[in-house]
Amino acid sequence: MDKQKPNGKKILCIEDEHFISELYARALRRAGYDVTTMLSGEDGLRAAESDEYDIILLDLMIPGITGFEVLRRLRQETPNLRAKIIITTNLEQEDESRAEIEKMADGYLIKAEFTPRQLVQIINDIAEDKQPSDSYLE
Amino acid sequence: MWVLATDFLPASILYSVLVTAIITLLIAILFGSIIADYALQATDFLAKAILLVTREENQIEAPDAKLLGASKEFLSELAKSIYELASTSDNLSKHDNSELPFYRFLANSIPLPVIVLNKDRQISFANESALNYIGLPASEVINQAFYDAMNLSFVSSLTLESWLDDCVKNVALKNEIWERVRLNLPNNTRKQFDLAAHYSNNDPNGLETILVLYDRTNIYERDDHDLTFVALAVHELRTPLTIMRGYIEVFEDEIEQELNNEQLAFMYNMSASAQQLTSFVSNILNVSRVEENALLLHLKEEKWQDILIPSCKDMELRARVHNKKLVYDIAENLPAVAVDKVSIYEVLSNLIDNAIKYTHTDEDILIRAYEKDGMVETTVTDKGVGIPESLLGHVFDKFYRAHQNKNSTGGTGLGLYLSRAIIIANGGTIWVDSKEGKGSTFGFSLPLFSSVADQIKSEDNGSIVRGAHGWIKNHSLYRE
Repeated sequence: MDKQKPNGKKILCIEDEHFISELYARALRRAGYDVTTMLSGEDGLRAAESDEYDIILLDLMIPGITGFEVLRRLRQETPNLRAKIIITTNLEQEDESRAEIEKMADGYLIKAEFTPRQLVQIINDIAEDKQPSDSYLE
Repeated sequence: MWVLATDFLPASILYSVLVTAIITLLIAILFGSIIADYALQATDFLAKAILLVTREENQIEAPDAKLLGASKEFLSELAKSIYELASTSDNLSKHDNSELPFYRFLANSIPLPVIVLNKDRQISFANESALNYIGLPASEVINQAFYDAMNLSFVSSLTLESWLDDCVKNVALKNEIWERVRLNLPNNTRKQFDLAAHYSNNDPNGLETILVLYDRTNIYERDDHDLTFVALAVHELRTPLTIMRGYIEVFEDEIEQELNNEQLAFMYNMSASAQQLTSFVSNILNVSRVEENALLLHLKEEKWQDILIPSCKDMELRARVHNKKLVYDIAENLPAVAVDKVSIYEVLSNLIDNAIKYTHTDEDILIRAYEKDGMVETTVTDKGVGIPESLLGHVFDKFYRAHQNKNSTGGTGLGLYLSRAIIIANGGTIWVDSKEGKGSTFGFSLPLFSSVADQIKSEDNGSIVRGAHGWIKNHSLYRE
């Protein structure tokens, strides 16, 4: 995949697994996105509240306050948040809690089910406000 | 305590029929291929039976402990004597009503659960062991329809009911043995056992089937726990594996042009192997979900070629590194199907992976898709080693592998079992057509979206959620 020109869209990636965030950030930057990575729930929440992002990738299992808590607080305290929030996780949620998360989030991705290249396609679709064409979004 | 439906025949006849049938069945088991572990339990019964049948008085002693430690030679001799006894039915029929307690004791002293069904598949008789095993009072067992009293699940597509249906149509006399049958009890508990059945349609008293249960709960539960443990362990592989695939992808995207042909081949091998490992991991995880009935599918309207072609493209790399090519024959304008795309990807991955694994030449693998009988059918055809006819009926069983040569092929024996569970949950069927030495075709069907559209649209999120019953229940298979 060739390197794309900056497209002006900003992504916040809240992910504590360094290799994963490196891979996501690298693939997304090559696709033209401006990517910021955060390692913990607190830092992620603070960054998200600045409301300068178009898309937030949020891991559920992160140190400090959990991804679920970050999601809940954002929805509660910043109801007009511009960013679309996409959950990324390796956890298989029980169907009920997953349904609860899906209600609050704009997408739900299981990390093992997509590669960085596929992530770029999914994010492109979301950024363009299209129904994701080949994604695992519910 | 003993229980008997006596309203239609004299008890002594029932018991003597029962004794003959049990003995015949046990002979069949002994002479048949049943696992040696049963020999001891069978000896226990045979010894008691011999003592009982040959004695004049009703005074019954417990079988001699020495007999239980009997050698194989002794067992065959014992079986032979009993067979002779049982086949000269005079020996049994000469007993009259005065000997009823004798037979009653015999039936109830058998340490194995024994159940007799009549032609209507109602329980005519259940001995004490059986009642204890099922955990129900006699009143809820005797004269009840078998499947109401016992909620059974079978691991293979041959269930007791389908076997009986087949017997009724085709044969007069038949024995069959199932392993890993589950008895589903209230409170989410279950027992697991091996089941021996003897069918005979020429019994004048209307008794048709005799069932003997060998409890194996401890052993089979241990297997299940092992699988759960493996699933937990395998779960930990997901993150590093995802990361490895990610970095391999970076190489593919960024340094492909700089590599020589050999290095390129290495990179593809690495990528294909990582992909294969990923499939393996998700197979294990999904089988454990099927077992726990926790694999949920979301059926949605999809254009089949939009799922089939990208899925196959993913598999092309795996084919290529093994010097094989995937070729396609996909009908134009296929109607939309209702399918869960994450799980169907696994089915395609398993079928194509098998085709690659079991083709040791560079023959192409053909993928076809077409509409037939209101379903969309997809087939994967290889010209590989094929499957011996005798084994064809078992390919979708758990832990089944046709080719045990581990040097040339890897695999868990879970792929087809899982594929079958997924296809059934998707509302389709799966089949195999194979000839040893010529190759195999695996195919599956999927329902058209139009056939379930109303149901899908009435759901909140525009999809149907279905569970995959890995264990095929008599109930769900025949009554839904």
